[in-house]
Amino acid sequence: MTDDSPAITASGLTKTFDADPVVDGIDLAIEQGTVYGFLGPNGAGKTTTMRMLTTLTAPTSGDAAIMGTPVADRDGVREHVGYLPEEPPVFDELTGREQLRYFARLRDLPPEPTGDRIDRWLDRFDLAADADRRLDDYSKGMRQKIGLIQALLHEPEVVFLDEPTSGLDPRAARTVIDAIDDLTDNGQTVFLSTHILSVVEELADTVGVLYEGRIVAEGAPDDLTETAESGADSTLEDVFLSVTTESPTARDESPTSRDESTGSGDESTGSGDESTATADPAESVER
Amino acid sequence: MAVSWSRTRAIGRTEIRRRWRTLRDNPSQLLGIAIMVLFLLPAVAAAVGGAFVAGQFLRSGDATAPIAAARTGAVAIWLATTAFGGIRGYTSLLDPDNRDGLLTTISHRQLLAGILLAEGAVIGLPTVVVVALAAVTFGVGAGSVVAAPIMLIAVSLLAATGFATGLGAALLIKNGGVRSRLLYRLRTVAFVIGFAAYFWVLFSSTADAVLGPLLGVLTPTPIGWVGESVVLAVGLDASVFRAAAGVLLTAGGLLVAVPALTRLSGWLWYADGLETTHTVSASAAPTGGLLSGLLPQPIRGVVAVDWARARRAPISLSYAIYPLFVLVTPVIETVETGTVGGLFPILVAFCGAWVTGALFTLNVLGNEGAVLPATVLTASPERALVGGHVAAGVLLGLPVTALAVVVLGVLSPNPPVVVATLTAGAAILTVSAPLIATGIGAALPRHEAVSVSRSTEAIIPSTFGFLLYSAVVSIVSLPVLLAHTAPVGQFVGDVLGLSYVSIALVGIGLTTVLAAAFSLFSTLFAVRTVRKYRLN
Repeated sequence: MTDDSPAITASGLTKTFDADPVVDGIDLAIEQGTVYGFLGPNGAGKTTTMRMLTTLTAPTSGDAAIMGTPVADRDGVREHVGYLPEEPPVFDELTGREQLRYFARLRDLPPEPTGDRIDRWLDRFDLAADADRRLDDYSKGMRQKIGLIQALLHEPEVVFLDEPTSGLDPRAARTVIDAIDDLTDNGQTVFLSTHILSVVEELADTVGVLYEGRIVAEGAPDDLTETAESGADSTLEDVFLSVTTESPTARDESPTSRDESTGSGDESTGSGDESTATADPAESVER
Repeated sequence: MAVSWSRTRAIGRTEIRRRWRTLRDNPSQLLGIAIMVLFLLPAVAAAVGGAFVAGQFLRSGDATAPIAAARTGAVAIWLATTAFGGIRGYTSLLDPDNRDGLLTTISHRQLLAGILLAEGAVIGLPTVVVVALAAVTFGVGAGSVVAAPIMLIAVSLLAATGFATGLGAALLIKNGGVRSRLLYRLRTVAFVIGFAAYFWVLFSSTADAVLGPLLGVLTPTPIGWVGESVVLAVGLDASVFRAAAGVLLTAGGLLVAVPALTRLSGWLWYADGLETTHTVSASAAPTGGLLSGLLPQPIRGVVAVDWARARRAPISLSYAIYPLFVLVTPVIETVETGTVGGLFPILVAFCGAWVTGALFTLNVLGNEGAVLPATVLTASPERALVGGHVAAGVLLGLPVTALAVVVLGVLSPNPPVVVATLTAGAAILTVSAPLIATGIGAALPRHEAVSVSRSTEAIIPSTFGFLLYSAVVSIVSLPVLLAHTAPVGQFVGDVLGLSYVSIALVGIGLTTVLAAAFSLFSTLFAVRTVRKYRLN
């Protein structure tokens, strides 16, 4: 594993339920120290993808690795990742501080600096005054913040966040967004799944749009908006809507469809297709 | 990531802390456990005292078949702990909370170790203390120093192996349930059959017939042989080879159980689960032609929702099960004797009404859950809610109860005219019970979901509300039930110089008056409560 190796890789990653592909052969190469914004409508397969990458679900086919460790090696991958699911994994009967200390202990973090680290995070998220209250007294936003601290406490190299700002008021959301932004400064990689496009626009170095189990667009937010069909003034929302409203069949027939360009790594281009598919996620790729 | 003692201890300690806090927040559960412990104390005293007597008996040499008795005891301990382990595993232990958070932090092996440590501390330690006490008194009674530690080791080994076997069985069942759509769909049926079989064995005194073959199969196995070690320790003649082989093989089984349970728990916790879709065809909607001419639309809507929710989430109707326990003994008697007793249709009339009221009407407001704000803003919520819930119960309960009373009444020795009056009485009770329940449910609503099992939460009516409703329905039913019970009805008839039928009619009359009074008061209260309900 070198410094410039991708933090997250996936090749033909597929998950089927009852022969129905929920995630259909996706390819990923996410650089270290970047934020990858993972977009997609409800039911597109985002959570299933995250569950495969965090080892909670085994892929039906294809490969994936986190910091070079294949996802089949659960123990190895666990060392590298922090995960905040959509529903924060907290125990109602514990206090906020107890919850964090418990997970620190499970991660074998030494008590001395960890206690200070917990206090700093609690301070940063305005939770210090409530740290010794039970979590069943917490609001949704407070629970979300505890869940986020829990995912970050061991300073993982890769952080998977599923809707981290969901249910937060603007101030709390801003605190969380700033915290996520700071992670990349430490070289940590963030895989961010959210419906809030403004958060992705602000944070993501690369955006991938998942639709019906396939990545239908991928690239830097600016590049995606520049090459969108709707024109130069388009926004990420325009891009999202344009690539997720057609059925795959319709897209297949479209002159700007992803399939007329290529999958990741394939350098051929389709006739009449103005965008190009490459393996480099920093380049604009409509796929 | 290897299993570490510090992480195991952290999981165990946190698990126990969570369980204690949950218990502390739930006084009725705490009281239930206190009562259970109170009931267990005499059993503990009997076990400790019984061990002393057993030791003395063996020492005296009066025991005719000590080896057979010891083997049977060993198998009984193993079977009991297997059943306990299976039930604990299936109902709670194997569904850890926040599984995703834990499994992205630690391995499933580590999680299982922590869960088992907590279980060992909460259930295992007190059990070991009791077994140690019993072992000491057994040793004293037997006059053997080695008998006590050998008995402690033998019983602990059997209990640990039995518990592990039960857990393994629960894991196999759960693994099947998350992989097979058929098993998933059959789980409720299997639960009902299992529950009915359990009560059948309990009430029909057929435990020997069920357990006998099991004991017969297991006593000549290493599980039974473990018992011989205790016989040897007392100084009686038994096979040293079988005793040693029993202990070693049982201990070996425990060692094999560790990787097996670990593998099975991994399969379960990382399983994809079944994609269950809940598609309901339009033709299956119960509001179709059948009710359209019978009930106004708002009431019909509530009836449809009640029935659909009952079908899809029967756990919310758990209180409707309790009245059925009254019928267990007469059902067993009827099956065993092949004849229907005179009391059976009377009990069916009472239980049918009791169940009907407990189905949908005991929580008219709370049942609405998150929909309540929308419901109370409709044009006439009191009419729809009270009328709808009552109709949902009566439309189910009345035909079933009346039919059951008629069929059983005809098969019973009761005269036809008494069957007719009893059916009329059953109809009055079945219609009035839900009306009575509405007011009680409105006065004692429960809006929040409560934990029905460790992994299941549901909005169910208040326990106090159910008890109060049961008391009122019993009072209202008493005249009609007593008047139709042959010895009582005939005795009162003789005293008053009236026929049995006349007494039955008087009973119906009294019940009707009581039912009308309670129903009217209760329903008006419910209507008023719903109409004036404000969200706080």
